[in-house]
Amino acid sequence: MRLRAGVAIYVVPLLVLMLVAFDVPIVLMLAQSVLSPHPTVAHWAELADSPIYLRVLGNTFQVATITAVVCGLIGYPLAYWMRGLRPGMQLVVVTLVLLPFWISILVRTYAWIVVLGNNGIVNRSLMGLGFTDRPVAFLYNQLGVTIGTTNVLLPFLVLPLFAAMLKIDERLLQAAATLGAPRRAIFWRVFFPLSLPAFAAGLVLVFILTLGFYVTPAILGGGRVPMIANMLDVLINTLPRWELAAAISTVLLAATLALYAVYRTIAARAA
Amino acid sequence: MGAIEFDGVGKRYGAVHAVHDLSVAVAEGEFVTILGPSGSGKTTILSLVAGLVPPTAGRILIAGRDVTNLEPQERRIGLVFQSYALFPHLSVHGNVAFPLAVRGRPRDEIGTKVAAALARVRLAGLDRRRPAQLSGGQQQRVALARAFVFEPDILLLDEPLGALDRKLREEVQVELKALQRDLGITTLLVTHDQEEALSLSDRVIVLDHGRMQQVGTPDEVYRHPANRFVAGFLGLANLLEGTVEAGGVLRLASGEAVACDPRGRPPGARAAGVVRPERMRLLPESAGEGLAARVRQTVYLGHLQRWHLETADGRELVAAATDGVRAAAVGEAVRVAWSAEDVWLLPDESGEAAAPRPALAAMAPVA
Ligand SMILES: Nc1ncnc2c1ncn2[C@@H]1O[C@H](COP(=O)(O)OP(=O)(O)OP(=O)(O)O)[C@@H](O)[C@H]1O
Ligand SMILES: [Mg+2]
Repeated sequence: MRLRAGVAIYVVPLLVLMLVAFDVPIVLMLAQSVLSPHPTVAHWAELADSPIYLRVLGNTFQVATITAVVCGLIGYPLAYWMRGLRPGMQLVVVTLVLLPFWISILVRTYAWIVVLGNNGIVNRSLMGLGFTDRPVAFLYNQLGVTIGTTNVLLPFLVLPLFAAMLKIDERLLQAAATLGAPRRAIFWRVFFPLSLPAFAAGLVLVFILTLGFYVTPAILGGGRVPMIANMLDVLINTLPRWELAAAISTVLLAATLALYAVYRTIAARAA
Repeated sequence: MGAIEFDGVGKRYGAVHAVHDLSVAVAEGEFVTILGPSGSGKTTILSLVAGLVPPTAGRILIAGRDVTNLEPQERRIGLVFQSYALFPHLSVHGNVAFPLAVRGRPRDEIGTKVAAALARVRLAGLDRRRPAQLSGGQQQRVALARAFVFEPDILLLDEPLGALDRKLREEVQVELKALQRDLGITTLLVTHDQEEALSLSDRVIVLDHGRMQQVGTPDEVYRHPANRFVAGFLGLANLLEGTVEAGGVLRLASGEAVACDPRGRPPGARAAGVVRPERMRLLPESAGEGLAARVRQTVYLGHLQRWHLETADGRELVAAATDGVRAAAVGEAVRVAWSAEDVWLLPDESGEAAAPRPALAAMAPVA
């Protein structure tokens, strides 16, 4: 008991600080959606009635889904390939995968404009090689946003998945081979199921993280592919409509928490 | 032609010589154990047979066919790993069904065979469980069922009973032996437990540092060991070193004469004789035969009583007898005696080439 009291002395002030400085303001802010200026459901009704808000919400979830799928399609083969490398090479490739983290997301996003713009290296090459005579519109649409989010989030999927693949016991694959399983069967019946929890957890993580993106859609979407964060910016800084922002934030928070619960369940199974 | 033939097989990992020039044949339906201390290359030999690692020298033949370059899938071998290697994401049923499922067998055939295999290892009713929900002994039996359910030509078992307590291990040994006999399947079992090797197998291969020390029936390797290592690894051994004299006498360094069968060694040859503790008779001090010794320690083993003795010149001897014989107390002066036929002169000892190597060291299959 003495020990617990001793710990409490250190923990309670931190808990109070968290509560007062973070949690209470968040709750108060979210509460605005039903309490401002007096108890009402009008703001929620407006949210449900105006197609623009629902479109942005839908658009956000769509971008998140596409990003997760593309990250999965690129990330799984990448992690699998990395698993087969020599340990020295693995270190090199892990460093390469991590490299983007060293560069500010803002810089990286603008770099895409240089690379993918109408006058960018990709379009010039395509036209120079005669594949097309007008520049391909990579930017300022959903494609551009998805390229940006995928680029930022790929490591979040690849690294945990690679770690999980390394943990798969080589002897299980050997056992499958002695039991007569051809290579394809070893992959589909043993390796893939064993890597699936980590893979699924990575997909959910990428999905959740995409929901909060602001800079990438703002720059690579050119304002034409608004996501929730961009809309909140407008609702708070331009209009300002705090009550609506609060309602939308509540939806976002609920969705994120629900997905986080899914992620935790899957990740626990992966461990 | 043996079921498995090793022809000069060697395996090195860099500087480590895990298996060295192994040439031995296992006959059809034979139960052979590979016995050796940790790190002696036992698992490596099984991996070579299973095709999990390629040999760096020699050839391996299965049923007369050179399989040295065949994939594991093509070898029709059931392997029980030291660690079991059960698929954690599959149920007991899924694990045992695996080799049948990847061969595309029809559903009802799989169901029948899996049920029969699980009944055979006494695991019926547990087929919905995951490996993580089983005890070590149950996991081991699942691994065993998975290894024989597809009727392989050869069964390889890597210390399959290591995780079991003594009582369960003895039970499973009996079951394993019965199973092997019923299936008539050629079996190679790895163990570092000499009792297990002696009780289960038709023949024992004794291994040390990747080299085969001896191959023979349990009786041969126990009573007629090829060298000191084999003598010592297969239980306690009293080593008597001396010089052969005419008339079947081994003259020890201390001057005592020990009766023995010199098996053709000329007088004057140096030799080492092995006497097993249970062949040593403990006599009262007044007896007119044997070596004088003093009891230093007694060990009670239930079914056996063991005496650690010290002779006048400081040599240690061990005698053992079934429980119930007259016990000698610590400190008591006694005499130990044995008969000439219980002394086995190690063929590998001494530089003289006089001793013909006994037939038990031959590498031919028994079949
Ligand atoms: N993949 C490997 N790389 C390098 N050395 C290895 C490898 N596998 C085994 N060895 C070495 O080969 C030798 C024999 O190993 P092996 O696993 O066959 O021994 P073992 O007799 O099965 O031992 P244990 O009873 O402990 O299981 C050991 O010295 C071991 O360190
Ligand atoms: Mg081993």
